[in-house]
Amino acid sequence: MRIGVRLTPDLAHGALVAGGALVASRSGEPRELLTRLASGSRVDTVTWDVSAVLDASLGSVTGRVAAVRVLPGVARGTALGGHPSPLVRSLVGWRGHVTGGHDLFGAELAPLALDDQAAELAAAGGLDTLVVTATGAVGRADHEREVAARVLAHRPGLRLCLSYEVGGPGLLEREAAAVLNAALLDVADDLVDRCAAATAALPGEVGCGFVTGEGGRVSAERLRSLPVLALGADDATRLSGAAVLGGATDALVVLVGREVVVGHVRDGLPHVEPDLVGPHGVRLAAPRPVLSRTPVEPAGHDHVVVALLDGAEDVGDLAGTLVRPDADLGAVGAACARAGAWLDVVATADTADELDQLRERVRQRALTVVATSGSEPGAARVVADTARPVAYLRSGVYRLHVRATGAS
Amino acid sequence: MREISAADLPALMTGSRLLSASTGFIVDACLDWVAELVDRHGPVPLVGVADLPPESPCAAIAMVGSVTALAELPPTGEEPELAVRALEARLGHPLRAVMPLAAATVNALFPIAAAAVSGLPLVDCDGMGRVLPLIQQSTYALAGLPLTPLAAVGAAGDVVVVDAAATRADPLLRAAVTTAGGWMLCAMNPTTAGHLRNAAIPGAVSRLIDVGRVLRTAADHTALLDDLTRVLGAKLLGSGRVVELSHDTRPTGPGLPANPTSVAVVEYTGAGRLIRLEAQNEFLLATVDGAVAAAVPDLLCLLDRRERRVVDPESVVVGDHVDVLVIPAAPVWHTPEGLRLAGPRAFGFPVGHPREGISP
Repeated sequence: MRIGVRLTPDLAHGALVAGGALVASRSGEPRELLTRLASGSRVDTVTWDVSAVLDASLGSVTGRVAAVRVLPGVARGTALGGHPSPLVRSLVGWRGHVTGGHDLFGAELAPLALDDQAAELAAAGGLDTLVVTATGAVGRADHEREVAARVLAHRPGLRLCLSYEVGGPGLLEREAAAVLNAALLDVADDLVDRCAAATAALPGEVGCGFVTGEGGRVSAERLRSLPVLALGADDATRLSGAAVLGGATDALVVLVGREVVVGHVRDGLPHVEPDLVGPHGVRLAAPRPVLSRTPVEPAGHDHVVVALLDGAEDVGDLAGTLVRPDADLGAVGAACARAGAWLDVVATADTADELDQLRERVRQRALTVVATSGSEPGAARVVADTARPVAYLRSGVYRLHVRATGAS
Repeated sequence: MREISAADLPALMTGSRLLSASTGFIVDACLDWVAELVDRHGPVPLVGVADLPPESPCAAIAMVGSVTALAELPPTGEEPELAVRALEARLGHPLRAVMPLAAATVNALFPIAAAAVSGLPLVDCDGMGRVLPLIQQSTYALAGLPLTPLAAVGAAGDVVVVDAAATRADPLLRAAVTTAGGWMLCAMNPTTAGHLRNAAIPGAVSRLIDVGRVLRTAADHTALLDDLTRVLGAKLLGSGRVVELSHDTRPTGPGLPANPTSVAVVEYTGAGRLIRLEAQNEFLLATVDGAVAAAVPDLLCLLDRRERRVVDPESVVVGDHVDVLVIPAAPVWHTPEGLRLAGPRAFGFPVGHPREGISP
């Protein structure tokens, strides 16, 4: 049996699922909710969707993060020196610049010039958390690591978020993810402690996991260090929860409530892409479900699942499996979430054989991440794997996306 | 005379996104940056080429390279002025106007930035009317305007001036672009307004703003397609689902960056025709059940049926639901010379353009 919990700032919504079918659901205080849902049954996992709590907390952590960019040149003006996202701007209380950085292929664009600045960076404008974003770090993170080592030598207690740990290509997307991550560390610490304690109160050995924005499940420790991964998880869990209740693993999912939200579930997982606009208009390098909020007609041979929410009755011309959920969709989706990994890599391959080898290496890395996220041994598999040539760069440059999932 | 103010930029971007699907924070940042420049320096005069004295020196402004690289290495903001000044220094005289090479997403913005910081007017024209992969594939080159000398500036502060034959300039510049981090901002095609009159696609910038305003107000998907047909003469080749992506499916075209891709779309309706798109940087050729239906230099464009966004060869994935649109190129591209420079054979396809033999 698996329990999924969607946590909001006010309440927890839970669902007990067995063999892909909903057994029970209820809402309440988290610890009591788990006990009542389990009701003496043996529970294998509890998976938490904490995105609503993380999202709500962003308004209370403004100005807490220091950010430094490592680039070969200094930006002129506010627009290029700052960040286009109002949320990111509000979270950053101090900014710095260091000369350095690499290109996408790992060649150094400028030597790291840190000698006169290490102490100033370590001071971080009096803040406790410093985000370091170096151009090219997605391919070669030497300068981010060097900045980290040097500032820690000055100030051992400083908390650091390095952008290469958070996301893929796109300096501003990666910086946004790292800034949000840094801003959420304290909140995540507290959340993980609370969720782990509530899970541990259930009898037996129960796995505790958290849903990410791409719909996969990660360990408590991974969420503690990378809380940004959980943002947008509610979109993912609602889609997969509706598909589960509609008995589909591949479907166009239409959520009809106060607004209409359309997404896709493929192989039981929400269809996701990186660099999409998410909560607060922030684009993150981390992937999130591809959603449409404009009414669309079903296309082709889609299996359509229509979930009626918030008392909605009118489904217009939509034909498909109708779901009137007795449970919170997000909780159902969380209960069914499996260990997941998403890798986004830019790399070069000059021949078809090299490209095959490169793709295989990235697939293996993704499977390793799944295995270390608590997947059952041997259950990890790659569910999506694309290699697309990067336009207007020299021949042989590809952007690889690999998505893997497991059983957990 | 029209002016471009910060208020015009969102519509310009919407219109230009039909030509290129680039999105992301880098496009937002560049938009904010150019708005900041226009606010600081004042609206940019948008002039017809005939409004300039014939002897006025002018040059095209374009980013050469990859938007993915630009997103990883954002501009410092100095590049437009440095590129203009470097070209002026090489030419030995100041420019009196700048124009776009291919006004699409960031390449619609950089010429405005160059005009704003240099205090120059922007000529309301374009050299491609779409995006083509090589810098010599322009109506400027078609009319015999020189491509070089050109000045290129990178975000690491590199300044390169290229003096070379047109066919050598692109490979030389690409080498510099690779070393500079994957993109450089260039001032190129130095000419005069008099020569530009018969070499440019007129009214291209204002058309993007006007198209963008229409697109931003389209009520739904059907209205959007109707608007594109009415305003741009777009033709719907078919609608369906992407069922296959494959790479390196054919020998690469001569000197083109990136690798070729094939995209197969199966139509929803009727017999489920197979639309196959051949791409390399851009969509170049469309066949329907094996017969050539559309080809470069006409613009082949995939429009996501759910997201109301353009899908490019870099972002398309299996399962996408798309409309395949063909937007006719400027008439000059349908001449024998235009098709020789930018028709399907110029990209290595052993087929003619559907309009070949038809008078433009």
